[in-house]
Amino acid sequence: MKVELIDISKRFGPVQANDAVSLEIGEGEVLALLGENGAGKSTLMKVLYGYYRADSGQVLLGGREVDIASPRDAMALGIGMVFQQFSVIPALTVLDNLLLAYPDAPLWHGRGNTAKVLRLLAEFAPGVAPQRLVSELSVGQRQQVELVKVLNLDARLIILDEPTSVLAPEEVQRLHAVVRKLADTGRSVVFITHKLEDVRACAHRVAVMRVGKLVAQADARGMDAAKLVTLMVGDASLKPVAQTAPPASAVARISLRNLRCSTESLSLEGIDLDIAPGEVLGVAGVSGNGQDLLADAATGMVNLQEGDVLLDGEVLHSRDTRQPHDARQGYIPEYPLKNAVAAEMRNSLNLALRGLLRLPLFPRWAKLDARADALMERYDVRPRQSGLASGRLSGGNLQKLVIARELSEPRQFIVACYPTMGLDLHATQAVYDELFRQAAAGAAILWISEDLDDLLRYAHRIAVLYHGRIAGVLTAGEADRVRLGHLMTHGEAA
Amino acid sequence: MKSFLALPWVDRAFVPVAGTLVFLLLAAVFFQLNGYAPLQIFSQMVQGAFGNAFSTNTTLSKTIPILFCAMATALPARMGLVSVGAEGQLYFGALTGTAVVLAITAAPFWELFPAALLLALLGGALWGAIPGVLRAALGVNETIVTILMNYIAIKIVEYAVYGPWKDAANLGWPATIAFPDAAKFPSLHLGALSSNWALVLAVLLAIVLHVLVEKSRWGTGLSLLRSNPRVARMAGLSYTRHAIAVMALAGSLAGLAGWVQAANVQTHLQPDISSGYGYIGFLVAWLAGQNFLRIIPLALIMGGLLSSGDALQLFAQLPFSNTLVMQALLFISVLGVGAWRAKHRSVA
Repeated sequence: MKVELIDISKRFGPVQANDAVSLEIGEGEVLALLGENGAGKSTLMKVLYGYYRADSGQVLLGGREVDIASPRDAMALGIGMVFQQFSVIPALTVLDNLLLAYPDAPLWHGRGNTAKVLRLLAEFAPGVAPQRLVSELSVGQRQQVELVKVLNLDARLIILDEPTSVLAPEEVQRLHAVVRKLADTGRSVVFITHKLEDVRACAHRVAVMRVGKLVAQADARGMDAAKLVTLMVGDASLKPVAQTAPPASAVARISLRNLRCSTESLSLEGIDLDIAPGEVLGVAGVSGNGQDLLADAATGMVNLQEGDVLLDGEVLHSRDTRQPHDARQGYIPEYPLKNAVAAEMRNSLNLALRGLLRLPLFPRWAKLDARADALMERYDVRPRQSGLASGRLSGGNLQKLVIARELSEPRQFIVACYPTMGLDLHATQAVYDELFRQAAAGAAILWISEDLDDLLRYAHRIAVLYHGRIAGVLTAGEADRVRLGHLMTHGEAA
Repeated sequence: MKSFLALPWVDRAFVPVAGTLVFLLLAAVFFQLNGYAPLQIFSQMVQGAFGNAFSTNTTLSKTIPILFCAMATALPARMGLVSVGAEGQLYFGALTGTAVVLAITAAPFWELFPAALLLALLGGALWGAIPGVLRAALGVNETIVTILMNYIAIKIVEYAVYGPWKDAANLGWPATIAFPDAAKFPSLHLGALSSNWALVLAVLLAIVLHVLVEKSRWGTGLSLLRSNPRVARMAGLSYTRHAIAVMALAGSLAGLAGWVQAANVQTHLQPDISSGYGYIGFLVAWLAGQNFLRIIPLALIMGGLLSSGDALQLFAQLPFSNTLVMQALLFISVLGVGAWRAKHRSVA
């Protein structure tokens, strides 16, 4: 099914998210849609999916103009979308989830439907057992179920919104294979991404958006990486990050000693880590091995059952005292919308949050707004409106807002979870620059990431988290993908 | 049309004005269907609420407890707690205040009144703090707990006035001794109008709370706790401490309503010191969108509606349940228009 978008424009208040964008997607084609944060990629695709109504412009399917007023219309026309936030129901089995989403689902499902629903699951997600609860599945498997749900609606065009940003490395490869298979079976795929490896693994064609406009289109097959990078970021070349020298001091700035705490599904079982001033300690691991809990425990966000966190030898967090608001520490948690900002409150307040208790009883809000304007300018948060509710920012801009708050002031101890998630190459470099500047000034950095390449490039040491414990710590010299991979999947050195 | 609606003052006035119009329309249909002439009834209602000094005084005396109870609902709502407990806090505050009166009945005003008022405040605060503690420490739903605690407070008051605190001189009537004037809010006269200082206190408190909640660091902290308790922790705010303190403070406001009802309106502690003011206050708080300034006129309108209900019952032989229908129609109209507006504004 050939899809043509013609002169699509969409404005949100002062922001022109899409400005007369025309784009074609051929049958059986994988189109990688690239662009920086807030470039308008998601908006364009949400217009195609009927989630937003365009202010002007046309959509043609197989040459015929169609009116897509809602996702329901889009699905009826064979257009499906897999979002970054999944809509599968964790408490139900895979089969139940698929049956629920089946078109015109009857009140009572017979055997016939079950077989129909499962046919595509077997084809595209052979490793996922239909009787398993979705809550037991990995992120990648949930994504596969989500995709099969869409395919069951006879989707001929599948839109994937940054599908690899949430996946572990081996899951990424599995997804690439699935995308290629979708194209081989005649379906069209739009793959929204920031990652060059996605483009190289499965795209036929690339389209690049910048500030609401489509600025480049090219054949992706056979294109080299340097050319792709130029396409994505324009002419500006990426400057190499100034990596800080390994720390000279052997005395720990921050010590995690025997940290134990637990949630319903997972527990940390005695984490011991020392980080020297100026040291960047990377934490690798397959997602779901306790990364978020480790970050929360190290920053005093959750109750500790045992152990403590020492800053320069003094207790910062322990069983009895927690100081999550301590100004000496910075914390960039995963999922900023849920974990790091108050969505209904203005940007200026979210930026001033760390010092809220130090403000006078009647703060001078205008002063905070001015400070916010300066920070948003410096960290390139768009739109640059200190009065806008933070929940209205796009994912990448929200991440920048949190980084502006946590890294704009000198810190002694920084915990950063996937700090570059959802950011384009420029913004990613900027975040690394900020982190390493803090390190150079003496901060101890605990950096949780799933990007092994970046970890190997920038971290002084890499610890591997496996089932809530540290499976091993490798220095930059001894770490490589094979060793890390083995620790990540087996919990012990080879 | 669209640009007209986008003007700031039109935008702000739209919901109250359109809501009132829809309400009047619905009420007119209701009266017409029941065989009354709507315009005549409306004019009688206004007469009944504000037509002369007597009716205005009645309206004001009903406005006071509604105002306190609405504040007692709006304050927890600012941090995302839905409290329906003003009724029970009102009763419990009246109960603890009464204990002072019974203990030092003969004391002069400057001893009796502050002591009774303080105990009423503390009683209401205690009744509010309990669901606050349960919410903060155990995660128990505060809405359910506050509703249930209303019944407990009313039952305790009934026990007291049917049992140990009953004045034998009352014969069968369940009530305490009549309170001395020294226990009451001093009265306040302005021409033919008369009320008491609780009205001034209520309005002042509404203004002070408005400023605190909208402008201060504390109010911002409450909004932060409502928006995202986890992030509030990063700002150094404790959900536990705030939940307990805010629920206690709200309870003390309802306790004030309890004291003005027991001391000034009924002059006894008796089982029916509130005509559901806690619940009417709840409606007012949510109609006002938890805005303390908007609560003031809405409480007055609600008070007027109640006193005109009394008047209609007397003079037009209309059953009092009409007042309940009117309350419901007002609630539906304003919230319905508000929801419609919110939906269309977000699309625009």
